[in-house]
Amino acid sequence: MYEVMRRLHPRGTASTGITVDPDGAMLGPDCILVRRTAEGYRCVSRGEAGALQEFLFGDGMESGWLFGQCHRIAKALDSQEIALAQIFGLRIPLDGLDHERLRRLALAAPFIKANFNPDEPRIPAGEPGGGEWTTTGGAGDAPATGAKPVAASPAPAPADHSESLLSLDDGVYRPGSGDDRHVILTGGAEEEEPSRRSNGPPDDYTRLEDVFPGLRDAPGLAIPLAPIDGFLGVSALADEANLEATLALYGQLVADIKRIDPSFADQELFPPGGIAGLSWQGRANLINGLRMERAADYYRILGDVGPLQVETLRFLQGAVDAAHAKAIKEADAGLLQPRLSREEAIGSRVDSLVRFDLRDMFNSLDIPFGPGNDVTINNRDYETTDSGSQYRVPDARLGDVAFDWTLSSKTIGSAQIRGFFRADSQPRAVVIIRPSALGSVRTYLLPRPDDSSL
Amino acid sequence: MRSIKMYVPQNISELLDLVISMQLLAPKFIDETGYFPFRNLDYVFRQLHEGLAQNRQTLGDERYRELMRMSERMRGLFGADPEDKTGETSEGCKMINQMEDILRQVRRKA
Repeated sequence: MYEVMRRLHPRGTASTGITVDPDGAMLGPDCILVRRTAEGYRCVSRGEAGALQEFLFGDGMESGWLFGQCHRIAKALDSQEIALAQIFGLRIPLDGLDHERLRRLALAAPFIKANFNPDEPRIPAGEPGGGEWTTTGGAGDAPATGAKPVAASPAPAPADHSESLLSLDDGVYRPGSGDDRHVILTGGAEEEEPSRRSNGPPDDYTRLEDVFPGLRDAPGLAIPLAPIDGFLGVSALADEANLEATLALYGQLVADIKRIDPSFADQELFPPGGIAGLSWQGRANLINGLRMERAADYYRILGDVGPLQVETLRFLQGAVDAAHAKAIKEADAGLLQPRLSREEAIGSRVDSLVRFDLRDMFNSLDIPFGPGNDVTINNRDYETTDSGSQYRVPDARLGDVAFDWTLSSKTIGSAQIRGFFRADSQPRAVVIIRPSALGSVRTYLLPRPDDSSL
Repeated sequence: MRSIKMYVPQNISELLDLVISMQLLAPKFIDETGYFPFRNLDYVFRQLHEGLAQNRQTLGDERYRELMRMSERMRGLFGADPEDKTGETSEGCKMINQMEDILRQVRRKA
């Protein structure tokens, strides 16, 4: 009646197959697949599971299958569903390992065991989700039943403005924040989140709609950059949590980039200790740089300008803030040559330095810019009319979004802004970026108004 | 991290932006955004030299040589006063203002 009958083996030296019990899961007597720790159950990393899978089954199984199965066992054990975990164990098509395979597994086992140090969160560089163990948030946290990737942000902001203002996430787990991104299993979440593993957009901020809640509704009013602190990566995390978040994001970003550009190789030179040896600022710079590279790949390879618009905004806010601080300092030192006023001199300096920075950035990313391109920096944007043509010069335009960095607040009432919208490029929005030092009304988005308003 | 591909100003407006930026970046020419860890005095002055060479025809040979001389002098001043304490950085910034004026004239005529 049953063509295949398998059984689980009791833990111990006599085991020649799979063991699943309250202490975890084993392959033979030596090779741990899932282990119980103080923070919950942990399984082998994706890389280790892949190596084991290849050793045991050759090419006859879908990539990542064994890792997924181990993850399911861990998750079931975390939920105290021992029977379900054992069913998952039985699905691993192994029974009666021969002496030679047991011997080779015994040789490999210490290396796998060594990686089970629960005090050592880890992600091998460039490993997509592999080994991204993190710990739960605090002493009172429940076991990791709601496993989710740390780096995987929630779905895009809902259209409801009032709710979305605070629901955006920067992909950083904050212990004690009360959300459920506390976990543990990262790589194994593909069963629940299949959409991330294609060339679809990644989970963190990649659309202006993500950072300007309300843009979907296009209410015609200025939309503030809501989650500015999170978007700009500023948070008061404990060092360990900061490192975990950085490691998770690093692994995710490298994997994302490799999916788009398989030839990508991270050339970052790390200090001793790797990412852990970087300062917090260094970690933020690393992540921001990779985000920008991912966005550039989306644009250059996939023709999708959306992520580049978002990362350019992130970049511009930092560049404007830095340039503004320097210009103030120069003005205070009497080194600027005001032609009209001090403010004009400061604004002019900020404009130039940010344009220079942006050109430097796009040049290094091999993003073509200038007249005739879909990305412009301080180039004419023409408006063709029956009587000829006229133009405006936005500080930058990326596809259908214009960017303007300025010291003053600008609204749709400004002739300059209306001119941007009238251009043949028909921008759907103008993003106004102001120095953070100027107060709460700094960066906001002006959605395209009705043509009758232009 | 991407490999470094130097940006060189392609026209006088871009050159002007670089020169104006230099005033804010002097004397160390270190980036504070985190996106340009490779930026330093040598790198920015190489960008300036390459930019002047790129626009030599528009500048004219005589003005080009004058700007190159000014550039060398500025580089020496900033290099000698990296902490902005001896007054040489201020002198270098004044030369940047002079260079800016020259480039604005060229742009007006172009």
